[in-house]
Formats: sequence, structure tokens, C-alpha cells
Amino acid sequence: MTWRCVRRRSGVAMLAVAALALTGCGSGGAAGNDGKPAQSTEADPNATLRFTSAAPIRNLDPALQTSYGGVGYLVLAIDRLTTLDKDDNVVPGLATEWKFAKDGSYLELKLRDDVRFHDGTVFDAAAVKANIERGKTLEGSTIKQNLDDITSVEAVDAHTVRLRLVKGRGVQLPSVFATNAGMMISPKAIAERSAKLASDLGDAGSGPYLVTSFTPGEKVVMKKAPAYWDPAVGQIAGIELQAISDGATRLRGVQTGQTDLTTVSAANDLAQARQLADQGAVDMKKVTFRNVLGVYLRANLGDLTKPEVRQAIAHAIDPDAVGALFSGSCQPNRQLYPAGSWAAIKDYSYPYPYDQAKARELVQKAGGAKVTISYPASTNMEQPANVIQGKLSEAGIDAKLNPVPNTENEPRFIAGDFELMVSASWSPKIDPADTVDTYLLDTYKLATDRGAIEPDAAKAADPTLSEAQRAPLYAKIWQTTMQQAWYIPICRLTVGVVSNNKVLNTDNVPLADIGIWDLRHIAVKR
Amino acid sequence: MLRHAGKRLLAAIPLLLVVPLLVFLLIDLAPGDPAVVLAGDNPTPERIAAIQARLGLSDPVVERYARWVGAVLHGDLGKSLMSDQSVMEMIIRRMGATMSLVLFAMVMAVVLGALMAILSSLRPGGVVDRLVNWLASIAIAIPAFWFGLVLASLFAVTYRVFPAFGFVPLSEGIGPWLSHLVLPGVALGLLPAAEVTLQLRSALGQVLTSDYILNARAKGLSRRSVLFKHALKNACVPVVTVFGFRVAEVLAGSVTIEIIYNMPGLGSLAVDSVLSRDIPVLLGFVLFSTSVVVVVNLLVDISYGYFNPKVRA
Repeated sequence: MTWRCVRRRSGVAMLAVAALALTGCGSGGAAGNDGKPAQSTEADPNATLRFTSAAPIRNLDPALQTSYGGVGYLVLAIDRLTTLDKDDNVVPGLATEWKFAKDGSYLELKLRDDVRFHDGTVFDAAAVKANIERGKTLEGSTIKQNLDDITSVEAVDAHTVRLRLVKGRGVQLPSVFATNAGMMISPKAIAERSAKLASDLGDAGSGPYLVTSFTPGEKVVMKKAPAYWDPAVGQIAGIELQAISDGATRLRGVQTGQTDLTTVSAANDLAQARQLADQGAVDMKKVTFRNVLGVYLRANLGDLTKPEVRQAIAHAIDPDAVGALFSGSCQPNRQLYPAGSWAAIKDYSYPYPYDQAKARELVQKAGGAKVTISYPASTNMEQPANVIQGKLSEAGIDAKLNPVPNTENEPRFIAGDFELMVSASWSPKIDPADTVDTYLLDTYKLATDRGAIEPDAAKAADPTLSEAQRAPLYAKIWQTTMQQAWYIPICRLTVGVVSNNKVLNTDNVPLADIGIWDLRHIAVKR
Repeated sequence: MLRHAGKRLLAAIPLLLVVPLLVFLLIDLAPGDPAVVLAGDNPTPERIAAIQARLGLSDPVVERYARWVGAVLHGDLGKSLMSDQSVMEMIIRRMGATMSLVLFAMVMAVVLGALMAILSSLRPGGVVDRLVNWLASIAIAIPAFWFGLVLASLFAVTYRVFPAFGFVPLSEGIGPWLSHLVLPGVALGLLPAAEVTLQLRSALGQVLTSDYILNARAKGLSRRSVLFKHALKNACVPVVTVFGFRVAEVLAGSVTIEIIYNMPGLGSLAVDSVLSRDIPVLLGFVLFSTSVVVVVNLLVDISYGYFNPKVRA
């Protein structure tokens, strides 16, 4: 299977590919809020955008990010091998095209030949090799797992790099390279000050902006890079990105003009933002979250080892009751991939529709059941967890709530501390092979009966197969996952992108649907 | 007096050792592990174990505590587990916002509280006295975070008089510094102001009916002279005691106000460190806040000598 600029997708995506090819595979031009390109006369090149979000960044080293929230800051200063457009298509970044070997033994990337890091170092195959090797070996690297399928890196020539792969693996790498695992920093900086990059990125990146000041956990200030290979992005003089945990405070910032752009996802903040938008006080664009709000179950712990109990839980959860908590901003979703994605199951219905009588019957059959519901405290998961507890109790399950600090909820579930978790963290990856690894077989290890999906997962991860060949294999894996009730999808939340009326291109924010923000296209009116 | 101060400082040393030890024990008892948080979005047992070993998190709690005390005695508060920054530098950087906020709140509490109490004591039982008493009771019942939100909504969003959030250091000018402090400072200072009002009003009520005041009045001294030169100084002793407690309370209350107004202070740092299990930062904060409370209480003790000469002996 060969990728030329972008992978083959739907007909619409093919048109986008053609358009990209005509523009030399560069990123798309900036689009205005109405979807039309922003007029150059409209944008103020001297403006500074003030952006606030809930996610903080604690260090600037792409290989040491402990949370994906930090990636939204780094994408402005550090280029990636590939990027995602606003529709989640993998599009060229520093790599212009990529293809897998016919036998799947390597992935070859063609690199841009007109890029220099801000410190003057040329970007080439040696730089890719230095970065990937660093990601695989750096102490504390959080991208090591993402790069595990790469056994070695060879520079074919100055602008072609070949990644040798573990047999039958690596199909997800082009999309993984659109995350911090594909971020390239100057080999000179790696050699001279690798340990200092976390606190002082300096001129080690090659992105449209340069970091001029960094206060860990609080604020990053950036200025426009003097020269950037893609003239369509980085249209303003600078960006100030600030972490503010409280959504109401972020909204107040935009409302009073103290900041220009923010994002909100809590139901009450969304309602307030909608009200302000109706009054004309702010602009708001809605983005449906790719992540799914749902319930993770550990089928090897406590009463959840009994299939009847897991099925009873799935039957007892009322998606409408959970959706009602979000005043319509949590779209019903009972699939593991967004409908329309090639990886979603076609002609599908969820095996355990809401049915309290059936749930009670299954609980009785199991001889009663006891579960503890863990959830991130003081987040918008608090109310869904309470509603779910109520529904489980109604079905005769002895359900207790276990609020956990937000930073610990996921890691401790992964560590096996909790049997059941309510969370909105199920984030279908761009490539389903990555989703299977992350949630079912490796990190979260939800597939307690690995044999039920492992053969199909191995087959589907073969990089020589086409999407059409892989899709039915994944459909089978998702169906097993839901039949086994290892995971119960409920709905997809909405994120509001709130700005004042001077901010342009707010409908062209890649990564917004996973809660991080690639602001490269954002401009500010004169 | 110096001897007394020295004794108090020596007595504070066990406190400075015990409070961090309690924090160590509480964190150790609580479920969770900072290594799990540090391992990132895709933690593996091997990575978690490596982080635990690197940071010494699997060592016995007593050993970790002894190591921390040893480092503190050498002036080293350690590094943040999350950002690898020096804890000392983090505290120094964040201290400005919190100290400015606490200072504003306490100055407001004293000035407003004293004014209200004096006005109220001029005519005990009069309209002003009853009004002040009523307003102070309401102020005590109002939660600071709610009042903070109301102030922000009114004076930042509706009237745009003050900034909605943030902090500007004094080095950037007294105007911007003050404008960023008014709303959070008033929200935080309302409760102590009400308490100072009620405390001072009550003390003044007793002092103003005492024999030496009646004697002064009988000698023909003016009401102002009696109040400011004779009554107020004596009435201040219980107020100063309360003031010491209030500093600790205001320091604790700054946590929520700093979050509402997104002030980069110690309170929000403390919350972050608790949530992320960043033990060195939390211990640094605890040591700092304990030291502030010790110093304030010492100053309160010393001030007794000024207000009451009998204590000096």
C-alpha cells in the first residue's frame, strides 16, 4: 500500500488529495470562519493572539510529554513528519510522501528539502534518524512505545529515510508521526543540550513559531519564526498560550477582551458560551469530540469476571439519561469509531440496548453483583458516574462511587487498581491498529481474552493490506469488544471554540476534536 | 523581648519538622503513585518501576523524610517531579502573587474593620452600630469563592472596571498591580474584615465603659483623644490575636481565589502539586506556609509588648 501525500479515503478526501497535490503537498491555505480563505488584507500580521485552554504544559521536550495536552503547544514550535488536517486526514508535514515496502519490512519517507531548524541546522534524513533514536532511547521517553515497531533507521539519501519495521507491524506509524512521536528537533540541539530542551526549547524546532518564554504549567509565549517553509500558516506576530483550569474564568477572559480565543467542554460552560454567542458577545464554533464518553470494564476483576454482570451493566446504562446531563452536547454514540470512518462498523446496532428488566434478570442469574465505579473527581464525568450508579443500583447491582484525582484516574485504571471506570478518554486513533494496541491489547489491556481478537489484530496490522481489506477485520474486533462488554460506549461530547470577533479561521483548528489545538492557521483581524 | 522571640523561634523548630512529616505520612497512606502520573498517557509497568527507582519513591517513608530534611538543612528543597524545576525557584516565583493577595486582604481587613468598629462604637446600639453589626454578620456568611465570582461578573464583565483574572507584579507599576488585586483581594478580605469589625467593636465596647476611660472623659479629654489615644490601643490586644489566626486562614483561602482569578500564586501551585502527587513541591509549600504562620504568630507575640506594657516585663 502506498501513500502519496495522503492515504486513500472517501471520494471527498480524494478531491482534497488532488488539491493538496496541486499545491505541492503543502498544508492547506488559511480558511476564514465562513470556510473561505482568509483575505490577506483582513489579517493583521502584527497581531498577537491570546489563547487559553485547560491543559497545561510542564515541559517542552516532545519525547517527555506526560499528557497529550502538551502537544497542542508544541505543534506551533516543532514540526512533525506528518500532520492532521481538520478532518483528521494524515497529510504531509516534514515528510512529503511515504510508502511501505511490498513485504512490509520498511516504511520509506521522502523528506522536504527546503527546511532548516531555527538554529540553522538543515533538516534531513540524519535529523530524522537522530530524533527517532533519541525517542527510543532517552531516559523517561514517553514516545518509546509509539516507536517500538521501528527496529532501525537508515538514511537512503539526504532526503529519504527508511524505517525498518518489526515483521507485520508499523501500519499506524504515518498517523503516529502526526503526534509528538513525529516531532523533529535539531540534531545540533540533541547533541549539545538534550537534557535542557525540557525547560528551554530555544531555536531547536522548525515550526511556524519560536518559543520566547516558558513558565511550566502556566504560560508559553511565542513569536513568529523569521522564515517558514509554509507561507500559508503562522500569519500573526505572536501567540500567548495560557493554561487556565476553570472554564468560567476562560470564558470571562474572552468576554472581557482580556483574551481572544478559548475552548470549553463542560455542559454549563457550553451553555453559557451559547448564551453569550446568541447575545453577540462572543463567537462560538462547535466541534464534536472524537473521544467517546463511556465505561471501561476490567473483565478479570471482582464480579466483572462474570459475563452476565458485564452484560447487565451494559443493559442498565441509559445513554439518554447520560446525554440529558449535557443538554444535547453529548451526541449518542454506541460505536468505537465515529460513523463515517472507514474503521467504523457498517450496518451496526449495539448488542445491549437500555433494558432494566433484562439487566435485573442477568444480575439475578449471576447471583447478585458488586462493583466500584471510579471516575475523575471534579470533572464533567462526576454527574455521568452518579447517573450510572443510580441505574446500576436500579438493576440490583451494589454499585459504589470512587472519585479519583483527575491526574490519577487513567494511570491507575491502567495499572489495574480499578475494576470499572467512567471516562471520556476513549480516543479512537487515526489508525485502528493504534486503537487496538492502546485500549485492547497493550496499555489499557481491556481484552482479557486476548485470543478472541489477537489473530485478527495481527492480520489487520499488516501494512501491506488496504483499508478495504483491514476494515472487516476491525469490525470483528470491535464487535467482540462490545459483545464481551469490555468497553461500553455512550456518547461523544462537544467542545466549544469561543473567540472574540477579531479571530479568524476558528473552523480550521486541526486536533480540536481530540481536545488539543493546532493554532497554526489562526489569524487576527486588523 | 528578644529572649522571648528567640524562645518562640526555637519552639517552632519541632513544628517545622512535624508538619512536613505528617504530609509525608498522609501522602504515603493515600492511594496513588506519582510515578504512574509521570509515566505518561501510555504507562507500562516497566516504565513506572524505572521512574520509582530513579526518584527513590519505593524507599521507606522514614528514609525519604530523612533525605528531605537533610537536603532542606543544606538549603535544597529539591526539584519538582513533574517539571524538574527547582522547588525553591518555583516558590519564589509564585510568592509574589500570593503575598500581594494576602497583604491586600489583610490591609483591607484592618482598615475596613477598624473603621467600621470605630463608627459602630461611637453610638452603641444606634443605627450605625446595628447596620455595621448586620453587614458584618452577612459578610461572615458569604463564601469567598462565591463573592469572588460575583465581583468578577459585576466589575470585570459588566462594568469592565477591573481585569477578569491574572496578576501583574509590582515591578510593572503600582496601578496595574493594584487593579489586578482589587477584586480577588476584596473577595478574600471580606471575611477577616467582618471578623476584625466584630472583635474590635466588642473590645471597644468593654474598654469604653472601663474606669480609666470614664476618668479620662471626666478630666475633659475630647472623645477623639479618648478613643484614639487610650481606648483603641487597649482594645487592639484581642484583635491582634485574631489577626494572627486570620493570616493563616487567608493564606488557606487564597487557594480558591487564586484559581477563580487565575493568579499564579502558591495556592494554585499547592493544588496542582496535590493532584499530581508532586511531593517535593507540596512539601516546599507546606514548609513555606508553616514558616509564614510561625513568623506572623511571633510578630503578634512581639506586638503584645507594644499594646500592653505589662507583657514587656
